[in-house]
Amino acid sequence: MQIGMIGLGKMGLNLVKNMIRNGNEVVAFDLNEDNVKLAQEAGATPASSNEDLVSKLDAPRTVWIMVPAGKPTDSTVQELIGLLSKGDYLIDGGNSFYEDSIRHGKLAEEKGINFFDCGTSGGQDGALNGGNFMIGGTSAEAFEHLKHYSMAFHKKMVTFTLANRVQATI
Amino acid sequence: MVHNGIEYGMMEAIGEGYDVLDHSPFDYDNEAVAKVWVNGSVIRGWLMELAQEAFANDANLDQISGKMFSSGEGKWTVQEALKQGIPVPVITDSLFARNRSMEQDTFTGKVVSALRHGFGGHAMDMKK
Repeated sequence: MQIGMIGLGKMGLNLVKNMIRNGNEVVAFDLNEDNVKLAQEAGATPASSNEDLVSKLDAPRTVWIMVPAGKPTDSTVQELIGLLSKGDYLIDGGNSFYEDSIRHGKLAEEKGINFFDCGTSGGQDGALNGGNFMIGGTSAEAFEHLKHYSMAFHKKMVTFTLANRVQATI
Repeated sequence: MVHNGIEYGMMEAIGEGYDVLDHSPFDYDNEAVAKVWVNGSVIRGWLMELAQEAFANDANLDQISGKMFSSGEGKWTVQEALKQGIPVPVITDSLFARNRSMEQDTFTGKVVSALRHGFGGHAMDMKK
C-alpha cells in the first residue's frame, strides 16, 4: 500500500520507518530538508512540497499529516483539501483539538475527501514499533480502507472509538 | 506509602478524564475507550485494565455511588510532604477529592452561600 507522510519529526519519521518495514510504499515531505533526507535513507520517496507529494501518489490517495497541532496542521489540512480529490483519504495524526478536526472533517466532506482525526500515543517507540492510534472519522466505510495498511501496532489494533460518528475495529 | 500517594493521583486523573468524556456531547462507549487506551497508549497499565473491566460489568457505573473511601496512606504521603515543605498538589487534591466525596453536602457551601446572600442579596438554594 502507498501512503504520503507530511511531517517527519520525532513521530512522523518513526511512523515512516514502521510503514516501510511493514511493506508499504511511502512518499515523504517535511519543511526541513534534512528530515526528508532521513526519510529517504529509510526507503521513502522524497517530495519537495505538499503538491509534489500529492502528485507522486496514485488515486485514491492516502495522506497522513504529522505536523504540530494548531496553525501548522490547519494550514496543511486546508492546502491538502485543495490538492486532493474526491475519494482520497486524509489522516491528521497530530493530536488536534477535536473542534478543529470536526471543522476539517466538514471541509473535507464537502469535496468528498475522507477525513480522519487520529490521536496517537505511545511515544517515539510506539510510532516505530507499534503504539496506539485513536482514529475518528467521517464514515465507517472509509475506515475500512485504512485496514489495508500494514503497520506495527501494539499487540493487535483494537477498537477505535470515534469522537464523531462511527466506531470501528481493525 | 508514597506509592499509594502516587496511586491516588493516577486514579483521580483517570476518573476526571472519564468525567470530561461523560459530560461531552458524544456518546462514548466507556469500555471501548478503556480498551483503546489499554493497547499501547502512554496511559496503559493495570489501572486502565481495571477501568475496562469495571465498565464491562457496568457500562456507566450506574450501580455505585461516587463515594471514595480511603485508608490513610494518601494522607500520610501528604503529611510527610508538608513536613518536608515540598509541594505535592496533585496527591493533595486527590486526597481532598476523596474527603469531599464522603459528604453529601458541605458546611463550607452553606457558609459561602449565606455570605453571598449577606453582601449581595444573591440567591440561596433553600431546603424544602
